[in-house]
Amino acid sequence: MLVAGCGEPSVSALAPAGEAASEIARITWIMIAATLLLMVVMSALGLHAVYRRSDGPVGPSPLAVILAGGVIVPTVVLLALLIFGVRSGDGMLPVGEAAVEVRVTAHQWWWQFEYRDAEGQSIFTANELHLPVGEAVDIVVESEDVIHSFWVPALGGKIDAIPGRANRIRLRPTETGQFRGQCAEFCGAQHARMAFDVQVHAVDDFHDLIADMGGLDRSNAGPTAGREAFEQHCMECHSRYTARDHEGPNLARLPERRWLGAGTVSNTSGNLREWIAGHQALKPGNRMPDHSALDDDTVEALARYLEEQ
Amino acid sequence: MNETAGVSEDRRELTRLFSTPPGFGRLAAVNHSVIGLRFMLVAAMFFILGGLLAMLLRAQLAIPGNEFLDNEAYNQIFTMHGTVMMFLFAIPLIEGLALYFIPKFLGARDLSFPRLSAFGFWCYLFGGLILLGSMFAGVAPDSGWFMYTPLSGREFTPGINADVWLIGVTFVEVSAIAFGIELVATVLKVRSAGMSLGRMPLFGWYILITALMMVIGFPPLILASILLEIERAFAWPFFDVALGGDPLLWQHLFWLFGHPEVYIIFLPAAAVVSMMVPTFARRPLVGYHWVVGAIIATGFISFGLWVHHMFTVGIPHLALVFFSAASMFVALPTTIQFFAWLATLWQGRPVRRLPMLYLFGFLFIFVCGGLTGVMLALVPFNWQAHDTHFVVAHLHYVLIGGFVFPVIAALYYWLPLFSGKEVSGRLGQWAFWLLFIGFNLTFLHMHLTGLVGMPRRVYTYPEGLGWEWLNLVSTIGGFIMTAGFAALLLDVIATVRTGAPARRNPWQAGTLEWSLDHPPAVYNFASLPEVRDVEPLWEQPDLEEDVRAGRGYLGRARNDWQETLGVHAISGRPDQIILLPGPTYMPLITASCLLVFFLSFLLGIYWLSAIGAAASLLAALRWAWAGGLDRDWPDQDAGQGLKLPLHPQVIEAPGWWGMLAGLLCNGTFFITALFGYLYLWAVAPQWPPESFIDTGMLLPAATVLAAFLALLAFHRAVGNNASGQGRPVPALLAAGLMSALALAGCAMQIATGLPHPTTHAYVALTTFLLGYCGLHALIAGVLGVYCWLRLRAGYVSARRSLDLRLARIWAGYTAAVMIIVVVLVQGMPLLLGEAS
Repeated sequence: MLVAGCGEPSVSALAPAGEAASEIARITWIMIAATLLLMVVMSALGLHAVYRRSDGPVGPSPLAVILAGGVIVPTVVLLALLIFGVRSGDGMLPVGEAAVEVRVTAHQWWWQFEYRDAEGQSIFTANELHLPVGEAVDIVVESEDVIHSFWVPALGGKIDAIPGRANRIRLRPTETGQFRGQCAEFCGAQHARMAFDVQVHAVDDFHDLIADMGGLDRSNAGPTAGREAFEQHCMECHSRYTARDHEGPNLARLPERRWLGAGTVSNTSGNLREWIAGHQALKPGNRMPDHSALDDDTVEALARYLEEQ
Repeated sequence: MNETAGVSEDRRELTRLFSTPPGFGRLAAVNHSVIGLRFMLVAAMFFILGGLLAMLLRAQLAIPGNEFLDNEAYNQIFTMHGTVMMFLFAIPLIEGLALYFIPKFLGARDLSFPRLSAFGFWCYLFGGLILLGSMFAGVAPDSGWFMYTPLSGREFTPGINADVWLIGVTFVEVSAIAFGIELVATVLKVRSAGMSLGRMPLFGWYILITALMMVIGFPPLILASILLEIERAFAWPFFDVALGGDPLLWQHLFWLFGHPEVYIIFLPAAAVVSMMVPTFARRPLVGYHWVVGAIIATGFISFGLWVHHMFTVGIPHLALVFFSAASMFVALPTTIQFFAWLATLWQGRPVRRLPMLYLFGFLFIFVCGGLTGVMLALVPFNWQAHDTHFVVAHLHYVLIGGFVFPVIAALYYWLPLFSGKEVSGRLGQWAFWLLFIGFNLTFLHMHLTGLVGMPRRVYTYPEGLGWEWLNLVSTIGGFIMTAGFAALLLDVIATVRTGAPARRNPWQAGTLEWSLDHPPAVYNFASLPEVRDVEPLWEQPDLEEDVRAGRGYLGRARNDWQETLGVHAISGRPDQIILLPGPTYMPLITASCLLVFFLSFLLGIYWLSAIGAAASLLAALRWAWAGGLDRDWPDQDAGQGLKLPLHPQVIEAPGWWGMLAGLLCNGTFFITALFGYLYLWAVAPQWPPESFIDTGMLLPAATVLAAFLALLAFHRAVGNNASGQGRPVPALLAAGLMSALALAGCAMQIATGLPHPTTHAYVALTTFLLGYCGLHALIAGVLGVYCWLRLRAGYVSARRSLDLRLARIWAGYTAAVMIIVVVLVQGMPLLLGEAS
């Protein structure tokens, strides 16, 4: 129950795979234990006060009760917790240089991730975040429209994406694998469908992947019919070239994605065709213009073009 | 025999004087019991509505990928659930509770300003109906009850939905402010003889602090709402980052209100607990002074922890530590209260009755909510749990445990008093167990739902993430809880309709309200008691009989006056006879004028809105006109050989305290606006603006001078009136004229020194501040004319000087804000200015 089963990516803060998340999970378990203990104690005291045998006054003097229970014990507990919390929080701050920096731009309702390749050239992907295991990664979060919040529960805490600001959060994955991230701040109609896929790779694999993604251009791949349809219907906002920063999600790596529509449906060949014409039915209110009028041939051509590697 | 006949004659007369007329006359009701019950009844209706909305939410989340509600419906419903529960249920219920009970607890016949609470009721009702109506029109607010900008701005919420929230809630907040002012003045001035602050039932202390917190806590929200509505309607960019605003300013203002709000809701719930525990422990509460200290400390600390709602917005960690510490240590006053209750039960001989069962539910659930609150105060944990279902669980533990359960306990506890019917208990126990089990089944494991990654406010979720059964169980629990509320409702209706007549004081409590008839007479006390203890019925066995036999204060009805005692704020020594107003339509008329203002603004008919605003001001003045006396009266017999002046002839009349409380509220609004100005200056990314205000120094100096001359003239008028040397009229006319000049000075600074407010947040805020000053100068001028008319009509004399003194206080406040604004607005650019 605490870890996601059935091969699904982990989404739980209690199944940590990152340094900050592990530290927080540890604190969480300690605090849950303390909370349960205190609840039992308080309930027992309350029950005893009412359901005790003896009829007359019991217990220590009232002043002692108020002082000990109401002041001294909580002060000691809270002070300890505060010191513990401050130290632990300090350890998670982005101090010093990170090995990798990823710029994240939140949109209604999808995520753009921007990496730099070895030459410093930008690489844009959508809704898929790749990280190296064991390295300090700084995620720099901005927003294109309203306030969103970047959150990968298995790796660490969340940080808000606020228009006009660039917020930074430090993550350090400790395990390779797939994880789920999502928007945590209510951001309008499709806040529920603003998830992204997180893949943590071995360091070498990560760098290979970045090299592969750099300059990847699939604009001219695939059949002509599909390319023409793409140019006619999609190109104003989308691109199949990873170096291009566009209004809509970059589609160069669409064949490699696990999800369509920022976690709306899984990326299968059937779903892709359904999504192209019916995305407003699958994810109502999303910012892509309605394409339900596209005929089946155009949809098929587009799908084939987008699937081409 | 003769004496008994006289007493019953007096009681008949009191009944006639304090009664609300039948038929349409009910719309003129001002009696605190009537208004209090109306508040509670309407709040209960909204609670049922909010509960039904919650059931829709839970039904939608029962299974992954559910298509029961679409995203539009879900977003409107969760926004309305929060809005209804916070603004239309919890706060109004507290208001109703306090309006109904405070005079009965404190030994008075009514509140200090009965018409004000009637006015508050109409504002609440109208604002609530605007919000309710929007739901049936399908345009309910859908940006969350927290309305974060820029999502709630014109660009991302182009429809009327957000305007409905801003205007509806602000209208309702007018009633909260009215309540706050009313209760500060009432608790301080309208008590029974001998009830010093140290002998006041703790409920009075809780409500005094709650009322002060409302007076200080609501203005930031009202300011934020006004700014956002101006931004939406007229494109003044307060929160638009591209034009010098900052969306985080909204969050600061919202939570500056929003966190104290939690304690505004909790303190009255703790208040009823503190009233019930002594009764069932059969002894006075131990640690009275500790509890009073804890209440005051809660009030203070609760204003220092709003940032814990903003731990993830990117504020430096060092700053978060302060708010983390405050958020943890606000638990201390609460633990003090808990252990005072526990110690009381240990020292006493507790009896187990139905309300105690609900108090146990409160103890268990609220302790859990408090502890998870401490968890959330820990910054790193908050980074994970923030905006997840963990917080949903936490806040329901706090609000249902810390508010709903104590309120149900209170309902059963006072049901015999206000319905006159005995509580039977069977169905009430069933209701308790359904509620208790249903609640925990809904929310206990919801902490886990959040920790395993489910964020808040999502209308759907995919399967396979491990959230399925957690959500399904919550939904089932929610419906069990609903069954519990249904059982509770049935029980209360059955009790009220068919219950056996209640015995007098069935729980053998010690506080004054139990000396009243069950249900209480419209005038509460046949004569007003002299109190010598916190639990007077336990310590003064003859009190009840004396009060009934008219042997207390003000036992005789005379001159068609509705009288109650006013006391010295601290000592409780009687110092005046307060004459209460009878039924009047003025509160309804004034609220209706405000309705025109708000509704036409909502619909974008701004000329009508301006008429509504002017009509509201005139109605308020007409209302004020009805008060006061048109001749000097000698001191009147108050009973017990005491002679006291009538309140319009006393320096510290309730109105004077009301004015101070009102200005405290107004001042908080002002200081919050200054905070906004300085905050944007320091923090907003797109600063400085292209140019600063440019008026030269002569105009601002003249404006400030005019405001101070107006104050001087009012001062002169008060002096002339008091000494009888020289006539106050010329001074009043001078005051009016000088105020008009100050108004003109503000307007000219805006017109000549600033570009259009839509160009930059700097211009928008500067205009707003100068406009605020101008509005105050305008009102000061109107008050000058008003005082002159009152003087002519004979309502003012050397002994009856309240009108003049209140106007002087207003003029003083106006002069103060004028000099602050002008120095700030003109000085900041000189000091720090370097236009871009």
